[in-house]
Amino acid sequence: MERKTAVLEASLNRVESGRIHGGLKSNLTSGIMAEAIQKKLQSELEKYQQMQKDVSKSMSARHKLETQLTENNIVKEELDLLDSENTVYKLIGPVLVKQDLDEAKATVNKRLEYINGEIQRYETLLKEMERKLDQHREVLSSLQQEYQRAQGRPVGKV
Amino acid sequence: MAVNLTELSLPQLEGLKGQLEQEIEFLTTSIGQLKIAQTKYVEAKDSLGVLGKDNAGKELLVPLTSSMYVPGTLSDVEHVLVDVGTGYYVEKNVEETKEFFKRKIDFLTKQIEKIQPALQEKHAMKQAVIEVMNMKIQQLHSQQASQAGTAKA
Repeated sequence: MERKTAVLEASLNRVESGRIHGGLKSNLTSGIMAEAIQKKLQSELEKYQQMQKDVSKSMSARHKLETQLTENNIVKEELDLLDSENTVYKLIGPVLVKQDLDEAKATVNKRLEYINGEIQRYETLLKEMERKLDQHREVLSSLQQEYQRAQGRPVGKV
Repeated sequence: MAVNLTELSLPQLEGLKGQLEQEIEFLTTSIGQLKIAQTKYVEAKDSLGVLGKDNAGKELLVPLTSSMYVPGTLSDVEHVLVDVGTGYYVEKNVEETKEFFKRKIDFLTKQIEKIQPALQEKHAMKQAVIEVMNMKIQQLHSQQASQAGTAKA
């Protein structure tokens, strides 16, 4: 997805530079039309970038959850290795409080459940966002082609 | 996903190269962090060696702050408190603790070994992309030279 975005941005840069050239070459009616499309393109691009920002925000949130999941899994493994001989303490603020082993295990298990649920939630959220992003990308590329056509430049030239 | 690099355009290759560079940087820092964590565990494991029977009851200076110490006696050389993560501390005896550290060190070694091949693969991929890019640029140059006289529509 990132690669596609980079490519899209590169081609949009081409549109930008095309605007300058086009403006110099022809200030006929096509130029006015091109300008209208360019404005639309700009606003659509801004929307698209906002969506991208949202996606990356959700991504980092999910990433954080995954880190927590790993850490809690490690703690669970450690707690499972213990027997009643070992005393478990929980750090609350600056003090260590003695805690029951079973209680600690239950807490960690509950936490794991919660984190897994949250990850699932973000997963579906991200899928939905990606779908919207794909749709938007199509809109952008068709707008871009329209713009190039309005300028009388060949479409899809590299 | 098999993609023929020669079929990609220059901007696409540029993007791919950037992405690969990011991935390489991420993997390199990951390995660095894992190594730092591993060193900490190794140090902790080594310092357990001090807790021998012959050191029991000896006097030592306990740092209350980094610049102030109070005298104390080593009353217990059998048990230590280990941070197992997410704020949980477990009282273990020295043998168990050594095993704990060994487990952690082995775990980290495995993680590093998992990342290393991925990093090498990314390096190789980046190299391939750069080669194709150079090829394309040269092609473009010779094309421009031959087409210099012909006007394009």
